[in-house]
Amino acid sequence: MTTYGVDQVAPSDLQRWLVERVAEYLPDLGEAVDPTRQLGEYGLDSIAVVAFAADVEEQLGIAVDPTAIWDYPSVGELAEHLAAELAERRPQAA
Amino acid sequence: MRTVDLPSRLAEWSRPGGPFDPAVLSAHDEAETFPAEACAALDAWGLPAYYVPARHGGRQDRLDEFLALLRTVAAQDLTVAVAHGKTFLGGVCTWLAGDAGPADLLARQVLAGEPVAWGLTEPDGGSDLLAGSLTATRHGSGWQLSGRKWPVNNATRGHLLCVLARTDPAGGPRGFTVFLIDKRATAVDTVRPLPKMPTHGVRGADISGVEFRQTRVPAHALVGTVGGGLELVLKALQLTRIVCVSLSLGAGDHALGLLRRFLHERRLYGRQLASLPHVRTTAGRAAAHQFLAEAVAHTAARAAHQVPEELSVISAVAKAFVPSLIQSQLRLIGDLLGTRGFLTGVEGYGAFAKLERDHQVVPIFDGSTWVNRAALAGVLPLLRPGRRAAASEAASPVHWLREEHHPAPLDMRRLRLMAPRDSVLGALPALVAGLDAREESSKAAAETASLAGALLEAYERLGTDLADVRPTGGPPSTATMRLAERYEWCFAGAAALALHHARPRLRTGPWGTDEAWLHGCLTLVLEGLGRRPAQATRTYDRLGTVVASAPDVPVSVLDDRGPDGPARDGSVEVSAT
Ligand SMILES: Cc1cc2nc3c(=O)[nH]c(=O)nc-3n(C[C@H](O)[C@H](O)[C@H](O)COP(=O)(O)OP(=O)(O)OC[C@H]3O[C@@H](n4cnc5c(N)ncnc54)[C@H](O)[C@@H]3O)c2cc1C
Repeated sequence: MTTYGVDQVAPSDLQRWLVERVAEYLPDLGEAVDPTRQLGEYGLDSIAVVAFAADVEEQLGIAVDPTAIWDYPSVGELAEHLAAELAERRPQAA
Repeated sequence: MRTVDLPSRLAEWSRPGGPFDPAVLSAHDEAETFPAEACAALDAWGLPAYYVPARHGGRQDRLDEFLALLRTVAAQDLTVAVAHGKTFLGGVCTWLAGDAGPADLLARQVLAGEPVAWGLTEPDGGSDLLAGSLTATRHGSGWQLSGRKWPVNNATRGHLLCVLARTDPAGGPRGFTVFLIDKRATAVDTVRPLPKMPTHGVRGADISGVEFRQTRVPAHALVGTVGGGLELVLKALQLTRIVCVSLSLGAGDHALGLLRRFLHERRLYGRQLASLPHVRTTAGRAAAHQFLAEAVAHTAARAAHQVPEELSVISAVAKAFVPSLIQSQLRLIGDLLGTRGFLTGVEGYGAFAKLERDHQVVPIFDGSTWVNRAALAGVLPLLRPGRRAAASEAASPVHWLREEHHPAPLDMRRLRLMAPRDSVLGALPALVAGLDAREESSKAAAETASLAGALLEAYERLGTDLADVRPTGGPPSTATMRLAERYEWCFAGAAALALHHARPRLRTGPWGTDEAWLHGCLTLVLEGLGRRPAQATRTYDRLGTVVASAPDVPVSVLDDRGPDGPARDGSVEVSAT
């Protein structure tokens, strides 16, 4: 597993990356993940969200509580939130 | 310690005419009436104080001791333990929410003996918390509730009800909120009890429901934050699921007691029953079930203090594993009791049929075996051995399972929805390496090393199989559920090994000599993993011999079962974060 290696991440890059991650969880989805749609609509249930949060946490190297996905339920919102978190915490975590 | 006098009080109360007289309790069971005398005796003794955290004026400061208490009650009568212990479940959300909620008010009520119900399930929702349709809408400064919770234990008798309500019509994980309702403070006819349900077991308990009809409740009924309900409930369940397994331990104690009496009384072919090899090995297997259940339950209870951030995994393992294990144990014991396990009118033995019926609810409520296993299965890819950094040494169960270790105060704020790791199973490689490095060269130690080595191999195989599991967005596949089950067996084996490492006392005495109890646990685990050790029969036979020949030795490896537990050194440790 590769860690996302960029210190200053643009929300749009992060969004693209998250879209790919979400797609891994939804192998049967025959279309691209729409960043404006809620993840719950794709059938990513509350248990899966816990695993997904852990996955994102591990790859970004910052703490990502599953509740962050509850509070920012679309990929677009989540990307903005995580980009802000990354900008704030990345220097200390390194 | 006051807790130690509960077993002797229960023994007193069980005499003819007492509140726990088995005849009185079985009459309640038959008539499906509430065991009010027994619950009143527990109130008078002060059990409700153990449902309230010390910081709110109660006596709840150690989950391991609390489990031991509820287990003692359950060993006497499971229906009473379910009926009374429910108040603990009803309170947790409020304690968890902290001072922001009605915690002090609730504490005063519980200490005064008020039962509290916890309403999560709805007729159409079952295990799916997000399907809840009981709705709370703002009304003036307070709220208005409409809808049903069913089935709910204590729903009719309890004046206080903690419920999960939908506060956002769209639902979702931020669409639910917890409320603590005092029925006495609601307008007439706006809260209606739903009738008591006839049940297969726990027949005397108040299994009913409640209907809210535009019920107005004050602002201070809100527990935690608006939209914070699901998070609160999922965290509360991490504690209640661990506590629930004490009900299984008590059922196991009760059944083993009946089995011992039977082995003592029953003579066949002019001999004691235990002279039949099959009877001995089956009795030994039943004892091994109890030891393994204890290891998991006790480890989970201590983990709540030491590694609360890991409880989402540990509580799911405990609740999926222990009640199922005890179900299997009851089947073994029922087989041995034969006719006496089936007839309800034979003096004394009728209790078996009742406890077996009563226990069937334990794997169902507070999240069924499958719901918990699914929760574990969902995060399995993250728990793959070696994927995440191992815990520090201070977080190792060997450290915090020591007898003299005084658990850090329970800090509910450290609970998380996602465990960063599993320190118990994660400790397995070090535990096994520790065995290999032992100076001891006895035959028993060699056998322990060989069983533990086989367990480590099974764990490594599990790790390999986990590497192929892809996380999914929906329910886990059947194959992944089976991996979760293997994970539970490995966890149980690690818990038993950790207990063995942590407590030198467990290497002596009737169960500890030749490491017999540990061999029993590891053998059972390896069987569960499809790797039955060659010497399994001999191992169970040895345990069965003690079950039959030393009736006064409790079938337990936990010190808190006896009144003369070793003195604790009283030191308080700050847990490792
Ligand atoms: C005696 C008794 C007392 C109770 N007391 C209370 C109480 O006080 N408060 C309260 O809120 N509820 C209470 N309940 C309800 C109990 O918690 C529910 O019965 C339980 O949550 C399961 O719901 P269900 O029986 O409707 O099963 P369903 O949810 O309909 O499940 C059906 C089957 O599917 C399985 N299943 C469900 N979800 C999953 C999943 N995600 N993955 C795999 N398998 C799954 C289940 O294990 C079950 O086998 C009580 C029930 C009983 C019998």
